[in-house]
This record gives sequence, structure tokens and C-alpha cells, in this order.
Amino acid sequence: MTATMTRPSAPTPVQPKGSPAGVRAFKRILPSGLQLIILALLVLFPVGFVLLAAFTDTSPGPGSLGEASFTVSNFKVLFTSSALTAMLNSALVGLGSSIVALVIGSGMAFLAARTNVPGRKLIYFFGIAPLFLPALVGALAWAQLGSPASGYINVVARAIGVPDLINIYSFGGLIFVLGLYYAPYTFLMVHSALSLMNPDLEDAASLHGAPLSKMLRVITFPLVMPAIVGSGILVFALTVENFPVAQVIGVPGQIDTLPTLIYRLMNASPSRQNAAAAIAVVLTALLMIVVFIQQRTVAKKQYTTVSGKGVRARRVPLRSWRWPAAIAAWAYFLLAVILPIAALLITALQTSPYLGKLNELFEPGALSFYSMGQTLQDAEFWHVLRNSVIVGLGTAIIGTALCFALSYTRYRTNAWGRKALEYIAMLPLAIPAIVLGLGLLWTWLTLPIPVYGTLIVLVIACIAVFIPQGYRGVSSSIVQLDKDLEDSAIMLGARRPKAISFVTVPLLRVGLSSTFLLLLMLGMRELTAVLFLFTSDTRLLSIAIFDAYDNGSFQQAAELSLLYIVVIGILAVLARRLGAKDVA
Amino acid sequence: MKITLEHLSLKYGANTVVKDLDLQIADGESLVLLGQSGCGKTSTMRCIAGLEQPSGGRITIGDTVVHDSERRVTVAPYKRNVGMVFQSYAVWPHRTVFENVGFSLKMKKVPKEEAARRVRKALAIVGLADFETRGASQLSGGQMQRVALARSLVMQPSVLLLDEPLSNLDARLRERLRIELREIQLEQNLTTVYVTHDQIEAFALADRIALMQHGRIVQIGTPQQIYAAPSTKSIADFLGVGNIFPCTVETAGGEAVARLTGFPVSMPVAEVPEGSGPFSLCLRAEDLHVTKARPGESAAPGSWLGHVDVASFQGATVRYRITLEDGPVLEAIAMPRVGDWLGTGDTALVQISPNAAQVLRDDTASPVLAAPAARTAVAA
Repeated sequence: MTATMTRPSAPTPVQPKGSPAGVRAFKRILPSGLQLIILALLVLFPVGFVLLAAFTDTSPGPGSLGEASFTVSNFKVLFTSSALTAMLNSALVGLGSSIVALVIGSGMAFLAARTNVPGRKLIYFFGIAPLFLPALVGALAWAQLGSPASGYINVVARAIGVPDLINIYSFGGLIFVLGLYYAPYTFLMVHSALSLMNPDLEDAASLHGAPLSKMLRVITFPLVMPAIVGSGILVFALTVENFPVAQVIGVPGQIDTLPTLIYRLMNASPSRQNAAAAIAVVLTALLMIVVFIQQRTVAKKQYTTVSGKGVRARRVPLRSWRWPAAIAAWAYFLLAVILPIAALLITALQTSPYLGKLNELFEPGALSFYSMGQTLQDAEFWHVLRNSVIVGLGTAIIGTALCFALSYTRYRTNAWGRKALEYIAMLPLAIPAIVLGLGLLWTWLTLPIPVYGTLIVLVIACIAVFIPQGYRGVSSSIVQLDKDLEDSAIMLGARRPKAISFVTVPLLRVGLSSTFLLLLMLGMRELTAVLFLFTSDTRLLSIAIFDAYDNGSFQQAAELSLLYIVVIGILAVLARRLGAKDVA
Repeated sequence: MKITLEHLSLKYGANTVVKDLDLQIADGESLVLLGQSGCGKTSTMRCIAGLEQPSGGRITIGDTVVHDSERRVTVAPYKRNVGMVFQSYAVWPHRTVFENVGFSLKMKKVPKEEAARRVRKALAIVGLADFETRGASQLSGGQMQRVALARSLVMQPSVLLLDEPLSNLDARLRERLRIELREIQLEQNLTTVYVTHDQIEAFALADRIALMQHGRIVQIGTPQQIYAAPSTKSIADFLGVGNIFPCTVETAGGEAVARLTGFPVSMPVAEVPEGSGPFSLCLRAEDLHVTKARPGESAAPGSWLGHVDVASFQGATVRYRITLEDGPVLEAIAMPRVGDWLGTGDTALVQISPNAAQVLRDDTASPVLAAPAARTAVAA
């Protein structure tokens, strides 16, 4: 150590002057203020307009604000028999389908995480695979499989002499389909709780003399209980606000839920917007209570045992139950993925629109790719696909940037109002997508900014609905990153933006890119939020499918659904590729 | 460059972590902020760096006021030319050693060749000459610490701040790096502020130590001063004085005598702090002489007989726990010659070095306030 660093000559004493108080206050409030305005446009304005419509006698629109007068008469609709039934139906369907999802999801999670079931890795895949099937597509497929007259399952059953085997257009059918497609949410939450659990806790129980069954009962299950309960309430909230499944499966069976009732009131002629708003307010209030309870369960009972040491937890030997358990898991995959896709394929390829008997399917010329080829050559299809991709990418790019800004402000600055930002960003969790869509419609009809009728308003809707997921994704990785890493760049002479781009963003690339892909997938799939916002020129794939179904053209809906699955599948594979590269 | 802190205060909401702190650090001085976690030492350092916004007071580095709450002036941290080595190293794992160290030169737009020359020089100073192209994530803890140091040295900082830079290293490496750090600091004539909770580290590195408690500096002085004369009981406790007992003080015939509370043990003391107490008697474990008592020996005044409860051999020293007859349990560190070790159960004769017993104000009953207690010598 002989080298000596020369010290810099003393800088000429510069005494900086303070800026005037007004400028300083403005600079302090500007970043979070700007974000607050964006969030207000995304979330608070729509909620405000729904409330406005619910409590006045005019529907929001340009120039309507002046003549609005307060009334509670809109809430009379709640006491009509159709609204009361819808409310009851929503509650029962939510309850039933969350029980179904809980049983399937936690059972599969236990099998995949903690047993010696044959093909464990495959069962993990089965557990999450239905996520790639949008609920709308799943519902359409099950309508094909289980409709009373021409459902494929009934056709097959009739061929072997069992008439009227199932009717999907029923209470049970609705609960079944919802449970089937929301089970992966339970699966993911319970699986991660089971596999991240510190195995020392279980070993301690065994060492102190507990046999396996006792250990499971006394240690393992109590420790994953918060995950199970939390996911159960989450599924309840998601199914209560679900629109596509309820519309496709419930409505043909004369089962209305609150979201389908809102849709019907909006589409009635003349449209009963104020009544729809009143129901939307009630649905939102219910959901807020449920989400509040869910957040409390998860926050309160977060046992710190989940250590993520990566130590492999002990596996439970299933003995003679190994194969039955595996078969049950396969059955789930069959019901949730294989049968629906097969049904869509047959529907898409069928040349006659109606199938009465099984053997009609095997007649020459019964199946043909002709119609599918026609769709692929249709300019409208490519236009719709392009719209979907633009909306998906727009949601992902703008959404990730916004979520990064929000998380950064919340966790890395002491900016004014940062807690309020977080609160508003998480609010859409408790607002049904259909209500948010309704509110956004009125917001952008009323505001003098001409985005209604463009793809921009669809991007806005998707960001508004998925901001909680994006925010959670980015903020969970930002809190894990040591703050000193960025501060050291500042000390070395970098301005804050440079420090963020040189240090923080590159180190967050895994978290940011997975949030990007999540938002891309969610944006490409969304139907409910954009239901009231699209125009004939800005239809998305999901809307095209819904339109086809609405017009009674099951074949076109099936074709589009298949192509939709292919597009989402390609994205998913791409996502894995990119994700894998990032981790390396 | 010299640093001046005047009336510095820092609040987080309702919680005041630094209270009206005044401190002057001379050019080229190594000042250590010593204190327990949560005493405000890191916050004080971060105020100098500019990473925290003080709620009151003024900070001057060299001749530049970098913060003045009254005049609402704040120089952005990236303009202060203050180097900082973080406890977590904060070496960027996605960059090479060279890119890490050269970052500040890139920010200053130093020409490439000169930058490379300076990076190499800094790496040579910290002993990492061959590591330039290594990815930072492949380094060991000690190497990362050296990279962090080189990264701060290369910018030729006006002031170097070090936030517990050695606390994540193992004991041997810590000792070595401590000496190297001191060597570099003296050689480069760097003004450094060093934060630590380890008094050994503070003694080894400091020109002056500022002891902090509850957001204030409670004692400041050279390492020797601090070691020799901690000003209160809590400071003595923090500095690792092994034997602290509540006591009362009596002055008889111009001679002050400390009497332990609860035991018939008393000893003369040289100085007594002002005020009415409560007081504590403090004895360093290394100031006690422990020898084997001959059978039947009785203790002369100023020495005591005791029973060895635990003898823990530590190589050069032996650590004893001894229960005095009719007295308290003492901790003693002895450096006996080979063969003179006492074992558990032996009877020991314990003597105290002259003037080693100190009576200090017991400040733990009420929280420490500023103004270290002035000491008055009792006339002999």
C-alpha cells in the first residue's frame, strides 16, 4: 500500500441559495401528485360516476352533470324479485364454487407438494394448466359438452342408452364450471405454502414422538390453514364478480347473478343505467367486505415459518392410495382442459350446426377445416387479433411502468401521500370488473378527452382492473432489494434517475419482466372490463368470441376460442423462455 | 475536509432519532461514532451523506454549507463528493469489479484511459489488483468490502463515511482489514466518519470517539480518554466493564470510600462524581489480580478471598468467575504464567490495581441527558 491518491483541490466555497417555498412545495408534491391524478382517472372517477348514476336520475354523459338531481329511488330495483334472486344466486354460486375450488385446489396442491403420487411434476402442471384457458372459453366449451339436448356428453350417453345425463345450464353446472376454473388459484396459494414451509417444524414434531398422521394434523395443516382460508375467500370474491361464466352457463338456465343482471339492465331497451348502477353499488359493497376479510385473514395469520430455505419437505407415502390419487388428478385435467378443448375442436370442425346422434359425427364430410380456413383468411379476424395484441402490449408496458413508479414512490421515498397511492392502487381488488367497466364508460363519455371508441380506453380499462396484481408483483420484488445499492450510486455522483436506471431497474429485471408478462396475459384475456367500452372498430378477440356466442354462432365462437388459446399458449411459452433467460 | 454539525436534528414522524447534535471533525481526522443500535449514529452519518433530510440544524463540509434547515438549503447528495461504504457493501452484483469501481469516474466523464489508470490504482491500494474483470457476484465478503472501499477511494472524496463496514466479516479478516483501513486513512489523510457498535473497532480506528446514546453525543474524546474514564454507568457497561455494582459513597477524613449495596464490601476510590447518586462501582475484569490463596490465608485490607465458580481458559488469558466470601460475583481476566492456573473450586485471592475502582453516576434509572458529569477530585 504505497500508492497515494491525490486529493482534490478545495472547491471554491459556493453557498447555494434556497429556492422559494412555493417552488419547493410544488416539487415535493409533483411526483406523487401526478400518480394520484392517474390513479384517480383509473379508479376513483369510475367509482364516483357509478355512485353518481346510482344516486341521481340521469345517466352520466356529456352535459348530464348539470341536470342531475339526487334520488334514492334507483335502489328500488333491489327489492324486485329478479334482483333478490340474483343476489341470492350470487351468494350461493360463490359459496358452492369456492368449496369446489378449495377441495380440488388444496387436494391437488397436497398431492403435488407433499406426497409420493406417481407423476408429481405432471400433477403440478395439471394444477395450473386451466389458468391458460380463459373462463369464457371454458364456459363455452362446457356449454358444448353439457347442454341438455345436443351436449356431446349427453349425445354419447344417449348412444349407450342413458338419456339426459347432465344439464350444465343449472345451478350445479354453474358451480361446477366456476369451481373447475378457479381451483388453480387455491392450488397456487396452498402449494407455495406447503412447499415453502420450514421442514424443521415437522421434523421437530416427529422427533418428539408424533406419528405421521398426527404430525400432519397438528403441525402441517394448521400452518397452511391461512393459505387455504385466504384462497377460499379470494375465490369467493372472484366467482361472485365473474361475468362470462355466469352469462354463458347461468343465463340459459334462467339463473341470474348480480353481474349478469347489471349487463341485462344496461342492454335493455331503453337501457336502465341508473338501476344497473344501484346494483353495481351493492355488488361492490359486498365485494369490499369480502376482500377486507380476506386481506385481514392473510395479514393476521401470516406465520413467519414460511422460510423458503429451499429445503425439500418430507413426502407422505400414500401406499394403496397412490394410483387412485393420481387418477383423480388426471380426471381434473380431463374435465378442465382435455374435454373442453376436444369439444371446441369438434364444434369448430363440424359442418352441420346441430348434432343429434353420435354416429352423425363419423359420416364423411361431417368434419372439415374449411370454415376454420375461412376464418383465418378473414381480414376481420386479423384486425381483431391485432387489436388484442395492441391492448395486451399497451396494458403490459404502461401498466408495468406505472406499477414501478407506484411501488418506488411507496417503498423508496417519503413522498407526500404515498400510503394513499398504495391504497388506491389496491382498491380495484374490491371493485368487480363489470362495475369498473361501467364506471369507465361513464367517465370517458363525460370527460372532454376523446379516447372513447379508441383502443386507448380499452388499455385504460385493463390497467385499471389489473393494477393490484401488477403493483403487488413489482412491490414484492422492490422491498427485497437492498436500498443501499441505489444509494451508493448517488454517493458516487449519479443523479437519482441515473441511479435507478443503472442499478435498480437492472436488478429488478426478473420482477419487472414477470409483471410485464402477467399483465400481457391478463390484458389479452380480459372480457368483462371492456364489455361496455368497445366499438365495432375496436373489438378484441375476447369480445369477438362473446359476440359470436351472443349471436348464437357456436361454431364461430369455438373457432375463435381455439385460435385464442393458441395465441395465449404462444405467449405463455414465450413468457417461460424469457423468464428462464432472466433467471440465468 | 473538516465537517461541522450544528444543532443537527432528525425526526421520523413523531420519533426524534438525532437530537440537537453538535460536532466538529477536523481535516484528516478519523472520528468514530460509537453506540448501540438505534442510538442515532447511522442516521447522523446519513445526514452528512445527504441520504436523510435533517429536520433542523446545519451541516458544513469544508467551507460549503451542504444543509441548512433555517435557510432551507440542501445540496443534493450526488453533488457533495462524499464517499460512503455501506454495511451491506452495496456492490452491484450485475457489474464487474472494474465497472463498480469506475462508476464515479464515468459520472464525472473522466477520459477512459485516465479512469482505467485510477481504477487500477485504487484496486492496488485495497489489494485487489487482479480482480478487475471479475463479476461482483463472484466475490467473497472481504473482497466485496475492498471493492466498496476502492469504489469510494477512486472518487477522491472530501469525506469518507463508513457504516459498520466490517461487521459482516469473520473475526480474523476483520482484524486485518481494520489495520489496513487505518493505514489507508492515515496515508491518504482522509477525513473519515466511521460508525460502529464495536468498542474494540472504535479504539483501533479512531483519533476521537463520539459516544452516542438516544440521539445525543454523551461523551467525546480520544480512545484512551474514553477507555480510562467513561463518564456514566451505562457507558461503562457498553464499553464492556465486567463488574458493575450499586454502591453508596461515604467521605471520611477526606478519603472517599465506596460501599457496595447489600454486601459488607468497601474500597477507597479516587474520585466521586457530583450529585447525590445513585452511584455504581465499576471494576474492569482486567484490573483484578487473581492468585491462588495459600491454605489458611486471610485477606489483607484491599484484597478478598473468593471461590472460583468457573475458570475458562482462553489461551493468553484466563477468564474467572469468582464468588467473594460475603461478597458479589466478580468477573476477572488474568494473565497467569503457565502452571499458575486456578481451577473450578479453588480458593482465590483477589486484589484490585490501585485506583482501578471507579464510582460513576448510575444513569440507567433515568435516561441519559447531555452534559457528561464533571468529576471532582476529592482532596487526599
